[in-house]
Amino acid sequence: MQHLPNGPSSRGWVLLQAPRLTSSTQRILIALLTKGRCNVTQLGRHTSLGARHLRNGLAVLFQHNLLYTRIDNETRVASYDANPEACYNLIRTGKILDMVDRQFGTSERDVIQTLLQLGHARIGDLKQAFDSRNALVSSRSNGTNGHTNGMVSSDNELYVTLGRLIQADLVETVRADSFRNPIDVYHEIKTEATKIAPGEKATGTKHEQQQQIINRWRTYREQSKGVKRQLDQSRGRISKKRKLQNGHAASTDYDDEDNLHHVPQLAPNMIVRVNHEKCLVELRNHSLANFAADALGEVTGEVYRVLLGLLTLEVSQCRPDTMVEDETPPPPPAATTTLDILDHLDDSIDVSYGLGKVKKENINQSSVEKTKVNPPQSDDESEESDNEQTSHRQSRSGISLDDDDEDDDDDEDESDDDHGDGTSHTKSASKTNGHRQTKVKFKEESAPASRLDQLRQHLLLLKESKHKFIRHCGTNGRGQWTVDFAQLMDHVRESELDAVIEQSHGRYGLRLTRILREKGKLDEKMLHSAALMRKPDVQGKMLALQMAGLVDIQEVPKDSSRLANRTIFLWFFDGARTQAQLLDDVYKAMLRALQTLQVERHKERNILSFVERKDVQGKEEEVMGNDYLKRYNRHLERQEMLLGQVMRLDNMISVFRDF
Amino acid sequence: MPPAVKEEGKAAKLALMKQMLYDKVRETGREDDLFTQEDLLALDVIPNRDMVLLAETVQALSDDKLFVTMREAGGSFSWKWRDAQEAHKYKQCTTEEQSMVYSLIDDSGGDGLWSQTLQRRLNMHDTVLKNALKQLQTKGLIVPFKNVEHPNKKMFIKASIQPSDRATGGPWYTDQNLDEAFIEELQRVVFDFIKRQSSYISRHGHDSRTQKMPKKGVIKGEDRGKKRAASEMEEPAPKAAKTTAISTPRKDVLLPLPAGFTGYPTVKDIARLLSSSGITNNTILTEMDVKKLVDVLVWDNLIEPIRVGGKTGYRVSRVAKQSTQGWAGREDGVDGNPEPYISPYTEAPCGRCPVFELCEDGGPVGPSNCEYYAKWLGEEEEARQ
Repeated sequence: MQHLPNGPSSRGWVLLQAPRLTSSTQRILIALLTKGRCNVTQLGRHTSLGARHLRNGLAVLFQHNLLYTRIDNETRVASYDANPEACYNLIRTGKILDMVDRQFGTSERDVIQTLLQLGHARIGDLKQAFDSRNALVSSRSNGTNGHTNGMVSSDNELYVTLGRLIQADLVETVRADSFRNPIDVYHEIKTEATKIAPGEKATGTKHEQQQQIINRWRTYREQSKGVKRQLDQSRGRISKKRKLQNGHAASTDYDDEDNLHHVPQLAPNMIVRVNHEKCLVELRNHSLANFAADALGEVTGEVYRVLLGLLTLEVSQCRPDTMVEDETPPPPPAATTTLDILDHLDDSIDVSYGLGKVKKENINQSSVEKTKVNPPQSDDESEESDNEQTSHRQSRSGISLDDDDEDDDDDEDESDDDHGDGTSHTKSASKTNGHRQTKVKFKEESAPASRLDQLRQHLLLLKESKHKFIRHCGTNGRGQWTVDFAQLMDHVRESELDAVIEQSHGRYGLRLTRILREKGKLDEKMLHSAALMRKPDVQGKMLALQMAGLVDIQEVPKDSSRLANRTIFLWFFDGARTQAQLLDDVYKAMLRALQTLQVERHKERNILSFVERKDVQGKEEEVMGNDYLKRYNRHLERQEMLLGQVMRLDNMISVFRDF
Repeated sequence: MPPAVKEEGKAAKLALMKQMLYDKVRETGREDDLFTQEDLLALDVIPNRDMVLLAETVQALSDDKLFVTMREAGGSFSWKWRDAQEAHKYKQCTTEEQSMVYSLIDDSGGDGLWSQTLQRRLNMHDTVLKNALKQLQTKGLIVPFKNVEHPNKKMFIKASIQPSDRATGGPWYTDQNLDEAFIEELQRVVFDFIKRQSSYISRHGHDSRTQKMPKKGVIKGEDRGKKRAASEMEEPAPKAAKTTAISTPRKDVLLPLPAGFTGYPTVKDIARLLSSSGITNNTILTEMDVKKLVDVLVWDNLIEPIRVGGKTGYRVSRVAKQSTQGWAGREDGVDGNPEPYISPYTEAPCGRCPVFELCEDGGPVGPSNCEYYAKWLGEEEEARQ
């Protein structure tokens, strides 16, 4: 876990969870964030709170996993440390719930929601909580039936759901170690490994020591996954298929019956919490799928979503652990096959749609089927590189490519019409329209045979994109696919940055920065001739970009006189710096959105306090006057806008920082 | 023999030599080829490899401006020939100054020469130089012109040649000014062309979602529908999807073409389109020029290069989101503009706030009194009502 090089101010962290913390707890958190690690006495001094308040506040923070603690070995004094990542993660609550609901189902969301509200919880306590809630619900609904629209309604169901979540790695177990700062743990491991007892000779080489450190660190990191492993052994690996279909009523029932026979045995003393790292992996899949859908179309995006889900089943972190510098090369990324994807693809996704139709002669099969076994070293690797094998397999290419000849002719006619210059346009269009629809029907009838091929077309499209969504790494199972996440995320970050530049500095600003990115440092003269822009325009734009910190200038004196006319001025663009700065600005923007929300709440505080009253809740429309109701609704609308904006900014922050 | 006759004979011999050497040199070399002393001897014009005779001949040719003397870095000399007609122009230079000025301008070729450079090189008095330039101009030997790289400098060029592309800026310049309207319009035409060629217009408005709706209702029950809705929450699309589901206005959408498509237009294709369409009027665009135009579109993130089977074609970016309308010949802000990816950061006030740096809680500008946020949240409308 790395420390954030730059993050929102401590005020921002606190604001993120303002609604759920009392003011004294907030003060403790602010003190910890600004002053760093403190023990209770120091905290008392910084916050001027009494011991009772302090202990209470610390307990609340602990409950929500917002603290790290360290106990000094000699003095036995505990000191506390804020956990900024955990603080930030609170903002993702809604997204995580949404994701779990989408991928697993309502009962899983129910459990995760409870866990998120509680921070962490003992299994026994969880069981009790659900029991009492169910009792309440069933007494209210006169016990019509036990199944209450997908919510957890029995102990067994709770256990099954929890087991499933643990196996999916979304829920992890908590031990005393979980509350120690990972950096502390790492240092302890390191000192222990390198410690030499007096009089003893250093044993082993440095390399061995390093290996030992790495191994012990791994064990520490894996500890929370012990239960998952046990469950994997006793119940078999989780398969994504079940997950994906879980939303369907029919399959859930079947699943439950199937599973209720072997309810996982979870010790009531076990403490669990939500594993945010794994949640991030799932959120990354979601945002990547959206990105692909944006670039290539909805259907392709859905296909990509399935592929990502399959690939990341066993991926527990978005980025490799930066704490240890491992010398052993990373294991090759997991790969999945076309057949697997087909198995897991939702039947309601019509893969015959989403791709244009062209004649078969216009497709270069050999370049399409090229596989790359190793990840590309550089981004702009040319097509003809050594480590590629062209498989000239005469594939039964997609139905969209090779129907019978007649069909091809139709396509040809139509595309001519489509791209024609519009003479007798409407007529031909309507004619082909009718034509097309019959053809589509025909295709659907013959779909089962070709669904695989159509799916392959989407995968190949993803492969061909300049963003390199997937890599074709083998030919087994009708094609093996993998994703080079690091490179792909670089592309995503780049396009996010491009979008920001485009919208704040216009097309010209984007053009100039992209030229600099592609060509490196450039003289102004080169710049305006490449950009096809007028010299004064370039100068003005470059100054604006420099003011915004996007580009900078380097002076190269021709001689020692350092006169302006004896100096070469080179413009350059520093991608890493720009991204860091943008991240900072996004933090600030997010904070402003939250603050604006506070201002809004303050403005409408009369109404809000009225609405909070017990006798008003639930029947606002009856009790409130028309005028007030209108204002209240408008406030809700604004709150939605602001929170929605915060969520979208969080997306950007994830892209730049976490994914 | 009397010395006069001897002189005459020698002069005649020299003239003959001159003619022979000049012709031979013209035969063997192009106008810019350089001849060293050895090269000239090897031409077998000078009998007995007579160095003195060669020196005299070359000197005489240089005097007639038929030979241009070049000095190489190592100190050795070499020569190149000059056309007789050009050489004749030097004869029109009546004074030594004029001839010096003209020779410098002649050397600079199509790029022209700045008057200040002339003065520095020749070290002449200002008035003398001006006089010489004026006379050369009245004789029609040189003309002043504007170089796009140095628009403020007074440049001169030989009257008989056209300024080089570097000096005029190539086809992108009209009267020494970058023709932005021309470039913009061409870019739109190119963009439209690439969009047409690299996408497939689906005319029956077959939205993947509308297709799924009835299926879902039948097979999956309510749960499934709910799940969909959750995933659509953050996309602005559902509204559109709803309308298509209900009223089904046939909306054309663009679809990407299958992988390995070989028909993506290349620079050559685009150049051919531009020249055959005749929109460039009498300006001729070379492939290099078109490449520049296409590069700019790539940098603007409007199109992307794609390599298929060893040749680089271009296709439109974010094809599924682009409009089916053309971009060219329209006002900005109407249908058909390219659809760039919108960042959430710049959509809200902070992303484009001019006082973002100053903004601070409790400062002169801050969240409590932010007028941009007020506008964004629609408070202004409210006040007006």
